Amino acid sequence: MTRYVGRRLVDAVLTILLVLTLVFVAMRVLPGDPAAAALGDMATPEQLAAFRVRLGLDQPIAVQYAIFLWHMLRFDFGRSFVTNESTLGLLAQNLPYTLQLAAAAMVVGAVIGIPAGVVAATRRGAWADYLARGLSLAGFCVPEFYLGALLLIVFALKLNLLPIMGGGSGPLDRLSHLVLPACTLGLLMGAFACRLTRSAMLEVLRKDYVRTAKAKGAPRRVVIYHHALRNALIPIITGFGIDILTMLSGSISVELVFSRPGLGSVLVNGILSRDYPVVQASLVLFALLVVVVNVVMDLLYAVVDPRIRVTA
Amino acid sequence: MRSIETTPGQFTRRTAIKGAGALAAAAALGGAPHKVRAADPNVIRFGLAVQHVASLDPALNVQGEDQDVTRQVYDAFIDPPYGTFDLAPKDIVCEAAASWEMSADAKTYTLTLREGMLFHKGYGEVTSDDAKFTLDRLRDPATASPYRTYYAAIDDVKIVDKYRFQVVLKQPDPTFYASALIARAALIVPRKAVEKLGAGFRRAPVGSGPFEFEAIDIDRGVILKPFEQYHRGKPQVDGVEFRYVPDSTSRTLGFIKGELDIIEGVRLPGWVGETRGQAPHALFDFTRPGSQNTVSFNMTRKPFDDIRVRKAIRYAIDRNGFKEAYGELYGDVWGINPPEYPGGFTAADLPAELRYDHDPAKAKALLAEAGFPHGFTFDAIISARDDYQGIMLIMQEMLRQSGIELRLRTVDHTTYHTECLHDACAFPMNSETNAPVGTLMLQSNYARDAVVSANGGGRLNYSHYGQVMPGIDDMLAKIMAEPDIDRRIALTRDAELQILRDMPAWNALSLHWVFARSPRLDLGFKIQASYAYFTLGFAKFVA
Repeated sequence: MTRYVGRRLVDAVLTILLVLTLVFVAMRVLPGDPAAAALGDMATPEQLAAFRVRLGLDQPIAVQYAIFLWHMLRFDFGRSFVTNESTLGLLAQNLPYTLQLAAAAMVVGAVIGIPAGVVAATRRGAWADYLARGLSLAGFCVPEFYLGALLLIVFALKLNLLPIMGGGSGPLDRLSHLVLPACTLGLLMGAFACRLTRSAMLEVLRKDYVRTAKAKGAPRRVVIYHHALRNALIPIITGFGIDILTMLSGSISVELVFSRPGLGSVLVNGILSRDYPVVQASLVLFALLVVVVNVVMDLLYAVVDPRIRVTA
Repeated sequence: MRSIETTPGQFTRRTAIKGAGALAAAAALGGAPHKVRAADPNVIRFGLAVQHVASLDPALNVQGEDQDVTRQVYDAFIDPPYGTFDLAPKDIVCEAAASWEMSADAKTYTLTLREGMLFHKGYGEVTSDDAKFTLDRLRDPATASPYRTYYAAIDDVKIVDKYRFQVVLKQPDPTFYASALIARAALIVPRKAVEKLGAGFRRAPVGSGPFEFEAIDIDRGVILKPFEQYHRGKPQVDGVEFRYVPDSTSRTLGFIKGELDIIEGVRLPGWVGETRGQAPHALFDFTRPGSQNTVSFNMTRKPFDDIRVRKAIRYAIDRNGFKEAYGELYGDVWGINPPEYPGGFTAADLPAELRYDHDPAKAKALLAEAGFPHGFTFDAIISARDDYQGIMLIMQEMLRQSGIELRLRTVDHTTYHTECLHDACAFPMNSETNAPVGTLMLQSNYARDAVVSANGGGRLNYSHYGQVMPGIDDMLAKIMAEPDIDRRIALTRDAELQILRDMPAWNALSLHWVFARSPRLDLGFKIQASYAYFTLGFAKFVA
């Protein structure tokens, strides 16, 4: 187990190094001058030049890259070009909001998508199957920002059940502010989970052991949820792991629509203002989250399926 | 049920479930580190159209919306009567200054501060030392203030006594006060606080204004509380919260639902009407004239080196098209400066040939004369910002009617300005909001020393006026040396006429800034004109 985890961690470090390099290159390739973005339209050439010198942007790219890696190694993410705020502090403030949103959306997605997929698979060809497939297809087609705006208008404005913007203060208020963003992302994730579960279940339901369980007279519920679903969970977990990536990018537009703090809005704003430290740190954190989720998913395989041994 | 063999330290389903539970609890209970209060009905909730606060140091405001905040935290020396842009000396309101005067030669301004005026957070009394520090800091290259050009004319700031100081200019300028001493950048900062806090001052501002900075909350934005010892009396509201809501849909919905009391409006065709339809009791405040939208012809590029082509494009543009699209947000501009500015041209002031009234036939004739009988096609980039997009898309359609195909490529706002400032734009548009001083746009958009270059020098002269053809530089030099305000205005009008004849660029329209406000919120004055910000020091909630 230790060797397995160790290998996964080495992979993770290499992945992060690759991401760091890509992030560094991408920010420098992107048109737009961070000095002009930070100092505004009225800044003189001398002021822009002084800004670049102060932040080392006048150095050759190779030197900037070496300095960047050195800072990253020491977990020194620097300060925002625009606000002079500590980048790490900025991320630490926003991370809980993104984690809340991601966790709640996963719960919504799993609670809706997995049962719907099971029903669709076990009633293949029936109206319930068509309904589940139709809704999940619709879920794939609707962009997050549109669904978010729609939910806002219906549940916040017309029905006046939930707040429109912000993250809320205090547990209950925070929860009420979380419902609509989580449903927006969760419904889209549920659509994905439904299709994934359906196909995984259809595959498993054809297996001999399921037929055997049925022949032995096991109740339908036990056959489906105990024998079939548990064995279908591996691709579903993989799918959820992959979907985390989609969800993190989806959280950007959801946070924007609901004016909710979070890493997504920090990242977008950083890109728009060419705030290199903020963008770099945000993307590193995103990459870390993805890597951690992948490692967790790998470990979960062994948990949900004891046939998988971790001696590889 | 099968189970996985467990040994101490082994990762099991139970461990996973426990871990997931702990993570979920941490995520659910974690949050912003700032303590926050419940919504207070006597606190103004102001929705701004940007993602976050950038700098609350008035010398380093680069984001317009930050000025909505700084206007509340600091006092200006003087200001136009609130809600107006009336900058005639007789109309000026004294804010931190008890009095002010300009010398006969317009080279020395003497200001006397109010006695006993205090800074927030125990930083003591506002003195002329703080005033000198404020102005010296603005003109110091080391500060890198984006407003430095307003203060470049200062030769020295002299302290006369504890409350009186003099601003001595290098050359006469009877309009200096109107751009450099009002509430834009000239907001008084305490020397002690700036020196003590350093770069931290940007996020922990200390002023002497009606509201005192309390916190920047990740969710609720900038939180201000009333300053108990404000020299004009404690504000009647319990505070202001500036919420950062960049998405125009949620900002508008938040206002309609009542989660926000006042919002920065969306300057797109139809927004005012639609919002009024959803919230019939809402009040709309327009700050006229608003932003000036100058479209330049890069005369180093063909075919814009040909004046017939430039004039053809002018004749192809229909002011009424903009007027119909933008409705109440629209303002006519006939010269370079809008009619609201002292000396600004109206239609009646101009000879017919310089009004460039919409005339597609004339546009086509000029194009044919220039060798484009079937029109021509050209490419341009445009900022993704709403106002830039709206104006250029309308213009694209107007040009098409005259056979000119404008192919637009949208880029983000930062990229757009960087490209244009590096002389990479053929047909750039720039939106700017200035004090009503006629020389400002001439200096920034038409002076030879403002010509942009590939290495990023210059300012907003994208047309290369004065470089590829004679411009108005000699006229500008005369204007800037003229101490008499009326003669200065007359000379400015002459320069504007010259620009209209040469047509290197033109001010397509004024686009007013708009705020939607709850009828519950009374600002204490009527907004008619101003920059896109105003004091909330007199605001109160009414039944």
